[in-house]
Amino acid sequence: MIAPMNEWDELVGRYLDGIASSEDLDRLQTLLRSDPGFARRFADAVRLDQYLCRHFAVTRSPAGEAPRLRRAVVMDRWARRIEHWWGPAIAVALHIALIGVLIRWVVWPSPRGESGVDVVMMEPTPSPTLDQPPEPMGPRTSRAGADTGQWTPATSALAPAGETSAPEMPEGIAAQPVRPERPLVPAVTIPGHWLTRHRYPEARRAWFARLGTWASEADQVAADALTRLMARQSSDGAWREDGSHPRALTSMAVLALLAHGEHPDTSAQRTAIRKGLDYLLGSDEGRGTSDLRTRALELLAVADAAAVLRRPEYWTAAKERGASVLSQALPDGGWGWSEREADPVLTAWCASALAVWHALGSGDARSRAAVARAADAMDRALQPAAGTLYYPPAEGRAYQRWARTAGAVLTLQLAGHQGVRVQRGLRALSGMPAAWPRTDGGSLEAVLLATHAYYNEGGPIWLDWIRRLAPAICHARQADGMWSTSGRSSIRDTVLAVLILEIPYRYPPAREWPLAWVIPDSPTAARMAYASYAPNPPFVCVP
Amino acid sequence: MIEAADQHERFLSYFLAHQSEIEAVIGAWVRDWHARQDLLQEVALVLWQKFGEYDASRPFGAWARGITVKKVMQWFAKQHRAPLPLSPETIEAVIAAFDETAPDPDEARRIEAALAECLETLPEKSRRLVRMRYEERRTLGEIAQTIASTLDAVNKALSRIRRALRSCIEERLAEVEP
Repeated sequence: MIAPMNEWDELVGRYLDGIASSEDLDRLQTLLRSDPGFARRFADAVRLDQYLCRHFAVTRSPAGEAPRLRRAVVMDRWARRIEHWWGPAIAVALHIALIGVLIRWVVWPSPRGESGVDVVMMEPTPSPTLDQPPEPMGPRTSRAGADTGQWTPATSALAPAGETSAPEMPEGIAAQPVRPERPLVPAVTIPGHWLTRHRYPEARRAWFARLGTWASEADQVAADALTRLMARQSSDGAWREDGSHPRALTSMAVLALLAHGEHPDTSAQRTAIRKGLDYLLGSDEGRGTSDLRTRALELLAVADAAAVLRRPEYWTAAKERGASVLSQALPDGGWGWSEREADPVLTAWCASALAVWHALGSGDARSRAAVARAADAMDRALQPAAGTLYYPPAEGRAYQRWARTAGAVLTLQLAGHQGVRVQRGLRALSGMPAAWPRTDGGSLEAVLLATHAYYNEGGPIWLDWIRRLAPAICHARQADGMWSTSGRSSIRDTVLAVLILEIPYRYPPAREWPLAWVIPDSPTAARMAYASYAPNPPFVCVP
Repeated sequence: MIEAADQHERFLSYFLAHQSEIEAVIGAWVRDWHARQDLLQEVALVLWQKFGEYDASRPFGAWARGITVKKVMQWFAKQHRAPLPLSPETIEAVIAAFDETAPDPDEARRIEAALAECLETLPEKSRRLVRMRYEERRTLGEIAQTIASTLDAVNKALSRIRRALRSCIEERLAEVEP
């Protein structure tokens, strides 16, 4: 009796593992129809398979994600190229040479380091307040003043020996040196909603330890850029520059400050955040604008503030802006600049804002329906001839395809989709270079949306993207620590660059939200934050 | 309003208790993990929409399984390139088997806990195979390539591991039963 059992198990195994032949399927069907015992064994096997999927879905790390797109996009390319034995041999030799250079660099430091100068890995310095403007620091110049000609990570600050004391940190946050090889930080209690749980310094450190040193370096660049932004805030709390709506710019700046996750009550940035929010809530300038993107950005900023700062006025403001965004949805789904068709970029902003607002527990069921309809609208715009999720630009500007495709993918992900449609869109996006500045005129907004879409997907495709993009973004800083796409330092470009660098910790990936999206109190949501819907719960971060 | 909240509460308690079983039913036909997650979303939504029609005197699991199977068939009807792997007559037999063997929610939780322990007892080589299959979600072909083996050998090895896990779970459940 053991032999048939084994044979049955192997047959069912072939079916579950996707390698059953047509003969296997015929035999399986015959057995299922004729033998109830076999059918029960089949049900048990499927159940065990499901428990295994579930077990590993909970425990798997980002590094262990499915290599689906890597297979399609990266590995196939490699597999095609490596056709001769000498290909891998040269690659190995190059790696050995590179390791040799690195060892030489580490073991014999440059002469500049010999005159009583220590290299100290420092904690991100608390940002100065507006009363203490930041010391100017060029992107290619270390604190010791030596122009290295390369982007110098701000975490490896050079300081004279004996002056290496840790910077003063906000109350309750211990100053510790950041070292990539450090074990994960112990559990700490930090405030906030599950949506914001990755962004506090303790959680970020744990995250960086998994991602690698580039992540903490990019984080430090973002922190430095935020101090520059704070210095450019107007006295009434707004950020202004030509070509941008002040409310949109202020919303994005507030979002970038909040996303950096300093302690909301003790951070040096709190004054700038509160002044920005006071402007958004209190100022009449541009209030009730017909610019839908501005309203969506305002909703994102005040909803985020409601999650972090938990003040009723932010909740009320989010409710008002949420209703406004909802009322502008097109009858066929999505949001557009005209009533003719949905615009994927605008739709992505509106859907993001509503998704965050809904996840916070807005209680407005229309948000879910609006985002689901928007995703359907994106799906209808699919180009069947191209076979990919590619949205042609309305005005013939070819580079817009990245922004539009990224916006469409992001909207689908926010509506809870992970399947074929999203994979097609990501495959289409794989043609977009992970580089900045771009020679094809692509915008930082497109890069931001694409980065968010990759982050939501997770796994190797995301890590591959961000590992290449983050250093490029950091390196593109100007001498004044700001970013620019036109040659002049721009607040908007700087905020967008910072938001890109903050994506790994701003929100959990959308693929962790879907059931929370369908049913707000689903196990997904509960597992992520058991107390998220209780008033002002402490969130225990156990990396 | 209170009635609606009660209804929501009641639905959630039923759905959460049977979620794993619903996922298993979907998994009997749909093998792509992402497609399964998409379908689970759709099933959850349909169950919630139809919850008003649910007769509480009958088992929720059987009701949910019936709706899940209909949704799975609709999904295959929409996928022109992917035919239903098992015929409609077979579906009845499979659903009957699921109904007969469905664990109650407490038992399902105990099985999942036992599985976690049993995985720890697997030899390193077997654990590596399971991780490649379920954590890294590699295909059998990829696994065979990685460990320099054949498809058939990997299939046999995984079948042995699943059998061992099933026996281990049964033993552990028998230990805790009074």
